[in-house]
Amino acid sequence: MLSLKSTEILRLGFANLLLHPARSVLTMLGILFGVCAVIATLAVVEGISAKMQEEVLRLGATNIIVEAVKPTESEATNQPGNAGVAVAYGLTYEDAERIQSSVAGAEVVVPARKIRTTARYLTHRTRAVVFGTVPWYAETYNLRLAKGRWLAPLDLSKTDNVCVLGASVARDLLPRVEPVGQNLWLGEYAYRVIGVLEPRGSSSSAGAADEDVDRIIFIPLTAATQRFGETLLDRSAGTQSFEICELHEITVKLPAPEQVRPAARIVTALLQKFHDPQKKDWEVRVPLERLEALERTKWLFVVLGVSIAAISLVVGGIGIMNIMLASVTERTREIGIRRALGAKRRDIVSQFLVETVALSTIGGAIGVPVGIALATVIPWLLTKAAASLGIGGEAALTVLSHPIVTPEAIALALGTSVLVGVVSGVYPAYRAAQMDPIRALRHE
Amino acid sequence: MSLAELVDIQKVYPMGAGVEVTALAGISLAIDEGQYSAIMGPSGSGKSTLLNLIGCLDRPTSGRYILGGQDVSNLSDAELSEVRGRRIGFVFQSFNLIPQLTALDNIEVPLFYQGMHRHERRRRSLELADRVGLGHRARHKPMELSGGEQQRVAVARALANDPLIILADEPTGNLDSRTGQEILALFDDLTARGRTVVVVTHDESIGRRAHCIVRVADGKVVGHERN
Repeated sequence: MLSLKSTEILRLGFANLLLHPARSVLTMLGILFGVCAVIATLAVVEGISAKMQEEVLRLGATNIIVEAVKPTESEATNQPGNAGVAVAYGLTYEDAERIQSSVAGAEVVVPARKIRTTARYLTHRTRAVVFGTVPWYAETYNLRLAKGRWLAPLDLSKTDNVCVLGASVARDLLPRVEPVGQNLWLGEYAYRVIGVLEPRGSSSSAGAADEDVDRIIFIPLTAATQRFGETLLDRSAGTQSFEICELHEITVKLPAPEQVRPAARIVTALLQKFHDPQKKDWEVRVPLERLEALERTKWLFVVLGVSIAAISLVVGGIGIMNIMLASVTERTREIGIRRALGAKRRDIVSQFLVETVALSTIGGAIGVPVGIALATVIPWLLTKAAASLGIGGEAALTVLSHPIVTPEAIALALGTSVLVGVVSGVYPAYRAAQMDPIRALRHE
Repeated sequence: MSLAELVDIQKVYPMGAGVEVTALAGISLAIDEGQYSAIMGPSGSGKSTLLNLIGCLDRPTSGRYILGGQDVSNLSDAELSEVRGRRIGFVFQSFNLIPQLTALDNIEVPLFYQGMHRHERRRRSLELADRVGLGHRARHKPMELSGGEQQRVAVARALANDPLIILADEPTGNLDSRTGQEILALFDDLTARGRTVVVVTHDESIGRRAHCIVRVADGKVVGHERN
C-alpha cells in the first residue's frame, strides 16, 4: 500500500518537473557542475597518484635502498691522504655483508656498482651507465627481458665479460643488427651482449640511483670490480674526477611490508656505526615511506579539490532550495486542495522532496559522464597549452595523461547529489506541509 | 442517530495582544443521513467557519463534533486528513481544480491519497465523469473547460471517495444562472439517490431547493426551517 503510494508520489514529482522543463534543467546545473568538478578532480588526482605509485612500487614496496652519496667538496678535502686526488666514499662489500648478517629475514641483499663510461660498437659510440650487479637484481626491480637472457650466477663466478642492455642503449649502439651475440666495448674490454631489456619509458628509473633504466648496461659485479678497478675516472661534463667507491647501491629485499621499517632502522644504525660521522656518504631510501607520503599528499589534493567542488554543490543546493520555495508559494492553492482532499502533511513533504531529490540526482547523474569527459580533456588541454608555451609538455602529459575514475568517486558524487537534494528540499517541503489548508485554499 | 452532530461548538480566533474574535458562539446542529441542508446567513455570520468545521478542515475551540459515530473534535492533523479523505467531499465556489491535471486526474486526487491503484482509480474517475455528464471532455485540463464543466469535475471529485457528506460552499457563485441551475440539478439528483449534502449559500432560491435551511447570524443558529 505504502510502496504503491510512494511510486505514485514519484510519478507525481517527475510530472511536476516536466511541467517546467527549462526551469528544471537550469536548477540542475549547479549540482551538475559540482558533481562534474568532484569527478574530474578525483579522476585527475587518482591518475597522478596511480602513476607515481607505480613509479614507487617499481622500486619495490618491500625494498630498502642504500645508496652511496658523493660527499661535498669541503667534506672530501678533509679526508687525509686522498685530498685533491681521489674521493673515497660510499658503500663497501663489508657493509653488504653486515646488512646481510644483521637484518633478520632479509630475502636478498643486492649490491650494485655504477660506472659512467662510453660504450662502443664498431663506429657507434654512446654514453652509458654500467651497472655491475648480481643475478637477482632483475627480480628485485622487476626488470623484464625483451630478448636473450639475464645475468646468471655462473657469469658472476666466472667473471664473464657479458652484458645486458637497456632498450635505448641497444637501439643507439646496435641499430640495424640483432644485438644478442654481438660484442661491444666498455673501456678496454669487450663484452658479449646476452640480453636486451624491454623499454620502460622516459621517466622510469631503476634502483635508487635514479638512472634511466633504458640507458643502463648491466654486467656481472665481479667483472665490474676486476675490469674497472676500485678507482673510477669520470670524465663527464669536461672535468675529470677520480673516485674510490666499492659499491654504489645496496638493495635489501624483505618478505613483507611490515618488516620494512624495523629493517630500515637496523640498516641505518649499522651504517651510522661503521661510517665516518663527519662524512655522511650514504643514504637510506625506503620506497614504502615514499608511498605513504604520496598517499598523504594525494589526500591533501583530494580534500582541496573536493572542497572547491563542494562550494559548487552548496550553491547548487541553494539554487534548488530557492526554486522550490518559489514553487511552494506558487502552488499554495494546490497544496490547500490536496490537503482538503485527504493529503497528510507527510504526503506533501514527500511530494516536494521527491522533486528536489530528483532534480539533484538527475543533475548528478549527468554530471558524472561530463566530469569523466572533463577529466580526459583537461590533461590534453594542459599538454597543448604547455607545448604552445614551450614548457615541458611531455612531463605534463606523463603526469596527467591517465585520469582514473574509481567506482568510489562515482558513488561519492552521486551520494552527495542525493544528499544535497534532501537537504535543500527539507525546508521548502516543511513550509509547504505547515500551511493551513483553509488559508491555502483561499490563496490567489 | 444523526450522521453529523455538532454539540455546542465554539470557535474562537486569538488575534494577539489578548484580543479574541468569536466566530462561532455555541452552535448545536444535527444533520441526518440523506438530508439536503442549506446554511444561510450574511457574510461574517460564521457560516464559512461552520462549513470548515463540518469538513474537518479545522477543529472547534470547544464543543463536540461527531461525524458518522466518531468524535472528530480532538483529532490530530494526520487523523483529520484521513477523515477528510475518506468521509468528506468538497465542492468550492471557485472550483479549486489543480490546473496542471486533466479532469480525470483531478477527480482521482482523493483516491490517490487513499492509496487506490492507478487502474482502479481510472476506472472510477471515468465512471464519475460520465455520471456528472462530463463524458468526452474528461481528458481536458481545467483551463480548457467552461465554468460549468469545471464545477462538474469538482462534483465528480467530491463523489470519488464515496463520502458520508458532501459540502458545497457557494457552488454556483462563479457560474451564470443557467449553468448554476444545471449544477443545482446535479445536487437534486444526488440527494434523490440518498446522498447527504450541505450547501452554504446566501441565495434564497438555492436554499428553498434544500430539505431544510439553517440560518446563521453572529456565530449562532438563529433559525431552522423545513421546506
